[in-house]
Amino acid sequence: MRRSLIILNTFALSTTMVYAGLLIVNGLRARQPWAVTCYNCKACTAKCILGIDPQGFVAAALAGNRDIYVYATNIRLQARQAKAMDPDMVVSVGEHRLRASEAVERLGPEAEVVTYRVRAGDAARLCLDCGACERGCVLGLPLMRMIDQLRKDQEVHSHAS
Amino acid sequence: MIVIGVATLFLFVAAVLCSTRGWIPQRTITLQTILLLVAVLAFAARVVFGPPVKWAELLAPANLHPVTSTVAGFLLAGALSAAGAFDAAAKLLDRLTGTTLGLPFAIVLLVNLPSIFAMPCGRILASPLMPIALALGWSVARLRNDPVMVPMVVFGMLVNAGASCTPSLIGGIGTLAEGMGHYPQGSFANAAQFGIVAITIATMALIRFQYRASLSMKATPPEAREVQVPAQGYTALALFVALLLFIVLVHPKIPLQMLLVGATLAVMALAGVGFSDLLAGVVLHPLSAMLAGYLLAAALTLSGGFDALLVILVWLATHSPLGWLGVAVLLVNVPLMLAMPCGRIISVSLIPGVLMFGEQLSLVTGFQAATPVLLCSFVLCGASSCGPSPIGGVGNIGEGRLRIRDSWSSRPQALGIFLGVPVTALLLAHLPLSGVSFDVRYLPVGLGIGILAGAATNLLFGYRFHHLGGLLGGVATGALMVIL
Repeated sequence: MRRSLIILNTFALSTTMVYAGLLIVNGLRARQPWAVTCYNCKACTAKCILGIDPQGFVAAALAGNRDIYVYATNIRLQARQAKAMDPDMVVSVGEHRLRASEAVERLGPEAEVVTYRVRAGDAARLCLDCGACERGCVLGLPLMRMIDQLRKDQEVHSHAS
Repeated sequence: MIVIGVATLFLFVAAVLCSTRGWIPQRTITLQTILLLVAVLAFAARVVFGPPVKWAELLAPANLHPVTSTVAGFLLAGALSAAGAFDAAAKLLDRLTGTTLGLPFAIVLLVNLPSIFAMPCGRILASPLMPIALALGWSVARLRNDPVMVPMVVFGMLVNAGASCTPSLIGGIGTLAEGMGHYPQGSFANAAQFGIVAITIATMALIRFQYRASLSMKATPPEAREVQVPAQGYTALALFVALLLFIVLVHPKIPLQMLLVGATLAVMALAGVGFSDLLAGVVLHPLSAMLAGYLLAAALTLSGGFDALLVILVWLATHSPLGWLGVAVLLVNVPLMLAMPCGRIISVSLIPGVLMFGEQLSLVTGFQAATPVLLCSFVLCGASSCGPSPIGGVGNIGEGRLRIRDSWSSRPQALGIFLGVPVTALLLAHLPLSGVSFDVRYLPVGLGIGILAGAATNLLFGYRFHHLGGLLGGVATGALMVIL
């Protein structure tokens, strides 16, 4: 019993270390090693007029997945556009939060909605490329390069599918 | 999903309570194991009962910055220790004790040093300052013949360090809240710093008057002997202070971890310190607990635990006598109830809800500054909560060094935070939101709070309340907080 508990505890400790290792490896695989240095201070978020949280791009690099959801709280779309982009995208309608597919069903395809949480790849496509986030970063991290890369990956993915 | 969210939230609270209260002994199953088991259960619940989920989302909320900061802090502390910098600091403190200013001056400045320099993670300074806090603590304990003075100094410094990432202008949690709420950068900093002074004093007072009976400290005092400080000890100490000043004054666009590692290499070259000296100070427990905390937070987010919490709070605000105001007070203190090893975990998860609450509070009370007041109080509470967090919080470092049982310091720290956060709320409600790093309008407040803190420190450590050392230390603390 005691031996199995020691194994279990050692396994748990190792898992946490693997978890940290995975984040670093993903950052390297995404060719964005600087992502591990991000403070997650949201200085970049304050600068974005579209309400996109550029730290989400960093999180996408560390998670090794462009489909993770990030905040983008100030982009107006028609419900059908939002659904076409991603049916699971979360949008705001007044005080309510709905999935894009639900918004189309309840309000009709032409209704105006405001994005709330979108996939990192979609946020990169919607970005205006003004560079305010990069200028606002306390570390001067190359966020525009990250956005460019996500956008290219998204295009490649769209063509492939 | 709400039912699953509530269930996983309950499971999390129960698991942490079981572990920290000793109902599941650490020697049987460690905290990390319990956190991971809860994370697995929460994630499994989401996979079985919720919409499809991607594995990568378990990685998304993680932030390596506090982990690497802790490691860099450990390495620099190891190098400084081997170079004799802490012996040099102890010697300087000894000399200071002999002057009119005495120990209170040094204590006020030391316990508030983390929030004066305000690094983006309190752990950066916690490790290097720990030996100095211990030296100072044992000096005053010997003088007063009262060992409780040691944890007073140590946990005063640690709770201050834990909270110090709120006012940091170089990427602290305060900037996270300012960014998400679209407020000017640095507008919460000074109010938060003064609140942290109150938190520090309250924590030290609670340890002395309320929790001394439950203190069982196995650490023994260092032998009183004359230590020969090598010349490079003073140089290494000067290098450390110069590095801190450089960071605070220049705000370099370089990750602080790199600067700390650079300073570590410089100290190694200066004093001929080997790698074994550096690695001796690295402790895996807080690192693995923090990482397990991130994994659990990700699983709780996916299973709807945090969403469920907000739903419960909104229901309470609209259906209970607490109303929006009462629940806002509850919401501010949620990070203390669910203390995570890094305040960023819960801050990022709940700030959208806090902003929504702030708007409602503005409508209900007609008080326009309600949102920034609520946001800054919440984020200060969140940042400070890594001090009392039993799951790898910064307080664990002190418990380990003093050989006190795990999470003994959680309660005095949590109560100190509970008492100190309203100071920030009051100040922010009455002072203008300022986006400049040195706002002269904050200077009288800083000096006033500094004098009060100095007088309180004098009393807590057995001096007359008007002892010059404490008062001058307080004035210097208040002034430096506003200026730097």
